[in-house]
Amino acid sequence: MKFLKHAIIILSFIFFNQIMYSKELGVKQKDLKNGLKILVVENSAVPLVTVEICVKNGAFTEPPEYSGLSHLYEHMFFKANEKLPNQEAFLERGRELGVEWNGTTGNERVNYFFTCPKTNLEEAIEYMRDATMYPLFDQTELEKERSVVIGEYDRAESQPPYHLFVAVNKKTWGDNYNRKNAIGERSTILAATREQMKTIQKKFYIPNNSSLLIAGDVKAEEVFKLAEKYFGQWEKGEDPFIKNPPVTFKPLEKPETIILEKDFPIVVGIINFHGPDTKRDITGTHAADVFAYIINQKTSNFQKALVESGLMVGLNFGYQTEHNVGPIMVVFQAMPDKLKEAVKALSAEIEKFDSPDYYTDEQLETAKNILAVEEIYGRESTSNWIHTVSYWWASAGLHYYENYIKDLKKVTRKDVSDFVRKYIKGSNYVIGVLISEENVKTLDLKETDLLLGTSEFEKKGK
Amino acid sequence: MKTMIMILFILILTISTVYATKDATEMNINGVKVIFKPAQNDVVAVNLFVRGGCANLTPETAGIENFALQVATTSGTKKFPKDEYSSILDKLVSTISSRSSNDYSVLSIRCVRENFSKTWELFEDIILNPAFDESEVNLTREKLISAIKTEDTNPDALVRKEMVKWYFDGHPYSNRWIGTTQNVEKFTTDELLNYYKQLIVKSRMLLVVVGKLNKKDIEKKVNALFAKLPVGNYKETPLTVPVKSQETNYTIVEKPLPTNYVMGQYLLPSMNQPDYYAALLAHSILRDRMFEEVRTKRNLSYAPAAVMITEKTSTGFIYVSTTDPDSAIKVMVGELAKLKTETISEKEMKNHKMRFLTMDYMRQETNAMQAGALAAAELYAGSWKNAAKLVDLIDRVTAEEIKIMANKYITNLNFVYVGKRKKVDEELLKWK
Repeated sequence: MKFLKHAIIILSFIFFNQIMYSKELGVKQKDLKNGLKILVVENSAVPLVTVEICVKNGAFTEPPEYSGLSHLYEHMFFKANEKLPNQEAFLERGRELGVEWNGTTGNERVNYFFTCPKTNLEEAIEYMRDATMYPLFDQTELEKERSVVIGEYDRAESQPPYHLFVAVNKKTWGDNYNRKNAIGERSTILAATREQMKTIQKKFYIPNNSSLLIAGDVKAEEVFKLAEKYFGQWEKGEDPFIKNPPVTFKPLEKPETIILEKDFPIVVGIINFHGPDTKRDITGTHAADVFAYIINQKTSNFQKALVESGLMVGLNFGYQTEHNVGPIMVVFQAMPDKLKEAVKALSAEIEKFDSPDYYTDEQLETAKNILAVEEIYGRESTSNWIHTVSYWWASAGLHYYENYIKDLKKVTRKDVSDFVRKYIKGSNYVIGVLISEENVKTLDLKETDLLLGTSEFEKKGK
Repeated sequence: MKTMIMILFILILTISTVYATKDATEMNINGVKVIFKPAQNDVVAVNLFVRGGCANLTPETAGIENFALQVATTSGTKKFPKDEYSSILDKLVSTISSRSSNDYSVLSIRCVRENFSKTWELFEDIILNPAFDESEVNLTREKLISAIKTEDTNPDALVRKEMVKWYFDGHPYSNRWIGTTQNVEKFTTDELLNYYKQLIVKSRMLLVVVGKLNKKDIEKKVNALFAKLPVGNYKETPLTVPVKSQETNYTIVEKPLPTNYVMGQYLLPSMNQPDYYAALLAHSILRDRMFEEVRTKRNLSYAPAAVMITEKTSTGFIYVSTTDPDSAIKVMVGELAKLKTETISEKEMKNHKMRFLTMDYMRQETNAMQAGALAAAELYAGSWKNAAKLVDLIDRVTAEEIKIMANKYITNLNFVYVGKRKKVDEELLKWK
């Protein structure tokens, strides 16, 4: 992968100033001298333009003393900068431009986006430039914003399933939980300083760690000129991942179980596995997506055995593509009296995941087709789809996304079996359930009741 | 970063611009109004609206319409048994779904153009010959009960539910479309099927199709379907004004949560009333002011909001989740009061009209959203063509008209408070 990264840098140097066009994606690209990637989607369906800055930042870059600070930085982005003295002025300028704005922070990406009438394209790029390159991190604003972020925390913690999500993730990622916890830790957020914001800026908010995406009723040539005009002076920085490469997640040593007792009328269950990633196992990431879309089909054996049978009221097998260990997450809801039976049935299904007759050829092809057509649906809204493009750019590289549908079509039964055997069947996992204290007593539920018995660890133990 | 509260409190139907109506045409097919709009992309959106919504329900039948439609769209037909039906839809990557709301239910298709004919064949059969299989009824029942029960564990859902119960007491909207666990537990398969049959009649219907399709082909398909449906005798009846809207009052749900949820609701003009556009623009301004005053200046909340809900009985609400409810409430009601007493500056009016345009175009990006916009104008303003006038009508709204609207409508505020009772000064919930 390191080799690949260097290869990309060299290629971009060779083709400097050449415009590349991905026919599959309909994205026109250009790299500025300073390393900033410009991605343009031309779509004149409505007279709007979306301007987005995407940065490879987020939980994966955060040591414990920075846990949640990528997110706090995201909030500070919409505040004072050298051109606009405070958030009131920032918001006022946004209103003048007719901007709808927002930002998100995830494990491997932070992005900011403005959507406005196309007539304000240049002003919106300038507005984005000022927020990106010249933030002030005003001390008073920082102190105020901490409470707002804590308010986000409070809202999450007001919902019982969130506590289960946290408990399961803590066990899944162990000592490196903070690298998968974008909202971060309360204490770190409350103690955040300007200096820390500046450190994040210096390390990650550099053109060679960012992309500028512009989508809507625009012409790429004009956008490239404007990008050069406003972002051409952005100073290149040191590759943040040479000195501090992404951490290595320790594999789970054994199956882990959690019974989280909270007042809740049904049972919610989460099972996590460490899955493939785009750094080490690209075929595995494709197989994971295809497998998820096979077994989430209503007529799949998985859904029939667990939902259509009435054991569960909801069930989803999910996989999140990431650069460094993508999580596999099975989420289910069940009525309390059916929990024990449901867990046993789930275990039996996992044992069958790699058997040749677990799914039909038709279901395999249908899964690939669903993924392809979902892409068509996703592209209907350009202002939204641009966020998908930036996600893939950050977590997989644009090349991955360009070939995504083509590569999915190549996924074979063997790829799927390899994926199942490498990451699920035989692998350690974390299973947690959210259930009321009363139901725990009624069922006489013990942590051992949640063991799936599907890991090598358990099988050897037997 | 900004809260998604606007999405959580889904505006039942979006409103529209000239883009929604561009090239749209109207047909009367077998007694049903059909609106067709050609599209540029390959996605097809079909919405078959069935009028009535909560007005069709009583306290004893609340939930039956949603339940029946959910079963109909998931259980297949005699010709396409459930597994075959689900398998075909998966292969086509098409969805046939239903959604119920206060004023109507809607049966929808989303598919790609190439698969429209086959998807329509399934859709037609679902409407004419739904299987209503007993086991599917029971599976759906369990899912609905689970959904209703877990509603109370999500404070945002709980505050909305409590507001409906409180504000619309005695009004049809109090018969919530999702129903109650008691109701959903007792409906039999026969009751659901009989309800479905009396619901699916042409006098209730409006069909909207947006896609790159041949108009004649649509006419033919729709004609074949509607020829087989009874007319029925549905007559639209005006809704009463909610009794609570005539007074200022509040209710508290004690819950020991990390933060407290406050919602204040008031009556607003409907789309067919002259003050509607002033109210719409006013709420765009109010939303922004809440963000700035509650969050930016005073950091009292992550999620302040002001929303207008366009329905037959339109309402507006202010909302906040906060650990300091007293301060937040004072600021929020202060902002409501300002709409009545202060004239909005020319600059602020101009800026918001521009932002309104952006939001409106964003709501036009998908064919499903366009279908919703056309239907909203038809169902609430009497003609889908009114959708084209929206931008112009918003542009014409004056600051004075907003002040008049606010003084006329934002007179009584009803609060629902979910959280720790001792954290709030109840006097503040008696706003006048």
